[in-house]
Amino acid sequence: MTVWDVLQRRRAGADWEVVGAVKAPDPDFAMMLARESLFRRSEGETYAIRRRGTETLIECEDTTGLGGVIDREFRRMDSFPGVGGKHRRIHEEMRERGLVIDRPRPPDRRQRRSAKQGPSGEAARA
Amino acid sequence: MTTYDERTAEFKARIDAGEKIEAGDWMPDEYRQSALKFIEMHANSEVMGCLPEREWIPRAPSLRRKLSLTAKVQDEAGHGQILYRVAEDLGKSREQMFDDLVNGRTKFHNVFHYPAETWGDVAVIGWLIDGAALVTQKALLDCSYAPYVRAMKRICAEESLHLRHGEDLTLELVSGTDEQREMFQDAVNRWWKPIMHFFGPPSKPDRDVLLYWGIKTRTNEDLRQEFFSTYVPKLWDIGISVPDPDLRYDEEKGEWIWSDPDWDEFWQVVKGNGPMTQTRLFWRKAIWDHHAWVRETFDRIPAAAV
Amino acid sequence: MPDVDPRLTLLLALADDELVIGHRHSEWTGWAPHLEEDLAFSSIAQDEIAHARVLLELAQPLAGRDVDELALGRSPGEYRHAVICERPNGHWGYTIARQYLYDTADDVRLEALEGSSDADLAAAVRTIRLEERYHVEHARIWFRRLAEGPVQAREHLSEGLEQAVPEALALFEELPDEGKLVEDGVLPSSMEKLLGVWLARLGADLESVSLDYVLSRHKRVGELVPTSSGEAEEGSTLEVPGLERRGDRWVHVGGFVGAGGRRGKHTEDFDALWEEMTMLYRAVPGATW
Repeated sequence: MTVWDVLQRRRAGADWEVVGAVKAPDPDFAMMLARESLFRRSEGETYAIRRRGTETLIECEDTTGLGGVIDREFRRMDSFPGVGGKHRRIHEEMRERGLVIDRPRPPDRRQRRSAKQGPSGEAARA
Repeated sequence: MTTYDERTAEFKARIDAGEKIEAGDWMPDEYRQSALKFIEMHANSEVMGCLPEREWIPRAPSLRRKLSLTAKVQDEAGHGQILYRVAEDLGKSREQMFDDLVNGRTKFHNVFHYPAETWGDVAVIGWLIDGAALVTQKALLDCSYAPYVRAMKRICAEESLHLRHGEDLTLELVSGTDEQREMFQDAVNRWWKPIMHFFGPPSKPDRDVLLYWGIKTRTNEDLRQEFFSTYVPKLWDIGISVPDPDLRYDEEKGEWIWSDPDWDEFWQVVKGNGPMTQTRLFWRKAIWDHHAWVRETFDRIPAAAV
Repeated sequence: MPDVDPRLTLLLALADDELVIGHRHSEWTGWAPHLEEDLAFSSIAQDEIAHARVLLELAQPLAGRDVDELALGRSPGEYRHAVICERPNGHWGYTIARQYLYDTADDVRLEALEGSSDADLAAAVRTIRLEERYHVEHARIWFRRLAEGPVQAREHLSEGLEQAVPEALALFEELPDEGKLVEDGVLPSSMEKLLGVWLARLGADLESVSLDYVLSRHKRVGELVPTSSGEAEEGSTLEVPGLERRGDRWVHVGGFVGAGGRRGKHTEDFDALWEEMTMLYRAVPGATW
């Protein structure tokens, strides 16, 4: 089975860069599979394939809908943005319910930093 | 004319100096074989890692979670695809690697030999297992083999998304009904030992071939300690306990104290005797064997091809 | 159901088709026969489920139930999908044949619905079509390669088509209150007419690769009930139930195999699917996940 290098152009006008490779029996398959293997999140502005060992680039002709049209909040890299805040809220709830487990743990990083700096906030001497 | 040993010494010096190796570079046999085996096992683990979670796609309790979970498992298959490609360039075909995997000749990480019994397990896998994996994967960003480093950049980015998905599932359960809280706590209780095993037994750094060649850059114990520091306080903060009565941070020593888990179970799993090993390999092999015709179709060049 | 808004039945029929076939497609995620194809097929699955969600959001005000309640909280007899969607995936030949038949059929009805007098539905369909074109592309690429491939490939495709074609026709089974929908322009063209459009395209596709014989294989609807094993009774002429060749065209005549999906009548395959799909949702009432 043929290996096809997959390239992307991150932004319009940028250079082509290799981002991976797919195994496919022909160019049509390779274009389709490359799109779903390496461009589901429209990682670049456009993509292309190149049969391994050749120079010919076959570019994606129509980038409409690359990465999906309907909001794919379930797939976006910035999904679940509030999860840290959610954890803090639930921690508060658990504290009120007396459910937090109070066992020896590393000092809080912020506490350690301010301990190093001293009460005035100045960095401690080495 | 340099001898093999001299070239090997030069190569080792390059690695120790922090230089990265590319696919086309000369490399000593031991380096090539170690890297290949390590990356192959990683790839195997990604595709086998799809199996516990994919069982819950049909049963997801909301459309949002159904979509999230499908996308997550898709990503894991995608990681397998990326890693097999890296391994192939070290000299072994994907077909051979898959064949070896489904026939039990090569290995995959211990955690994927266990069943996903409840939705609580889906949360634990998404948060704590992926969390453990991310700790080890971030360490691989310093690996000496450049193609693997590039693969890991993409994989780590996607894994961070999975982690937030897993944490979101967890928080929903923990703040839900009593039944949901118990479901999550029960899953933690069952998965804790496999997670401890995941980091491997405490290793002897001076004997570790992977550390020698810079393929691994941190010891098993180091990674396990980082896992504890990252996740245990967070679990305790939401009122979830860990089934290790000794687990605590010792400030004087500057490290976590933990109970040594039963390593016999670990070695059994490594040998292929995990609770789900044979079942999962059976299904993978059945699909692989039944669909040889698809691979043959892809391998044939049709008459009209360019 | 008395006095149900005909638009609700249409929306549920479309949404349930997408949801149930999306559910089936998603069962390949993680272990499809080719690794890159696993990813491509999973995207198709996710698209279908996302489309179901869009359509159920439109149905929400008419049904008075929220999206997850509609998706996972109805009883089996309340789902309006065509029976073909609920069949198990079987092997890859059936899966591809079904995906090809489903998405080419869906293309025909979406094309018509873009002209719906219901502005919200028309807008949703326009968006959905931008993604569905990739499904049709995927189906055509596989169809061509298998049909023009080695003997085994062609056999797997043709067997899959023989199995799937009879039930695929019922994607165009008449909807309850369809007359009202067509009159109001919500459904710009009757399902029967759309079936005609699809059959013309299907016939042409199959003829181009000499697979049109799959359209003339089984028994006439009304004479004998086809069994799920597809066994033929001795001595009967073989035709696909409900299909006849007239001149250079394939036309639909009579009933449908797997009829009743639009009225909530499903097979034991859906009982099993429904059980699995809804069990956790139903297990802890009132819970959020």
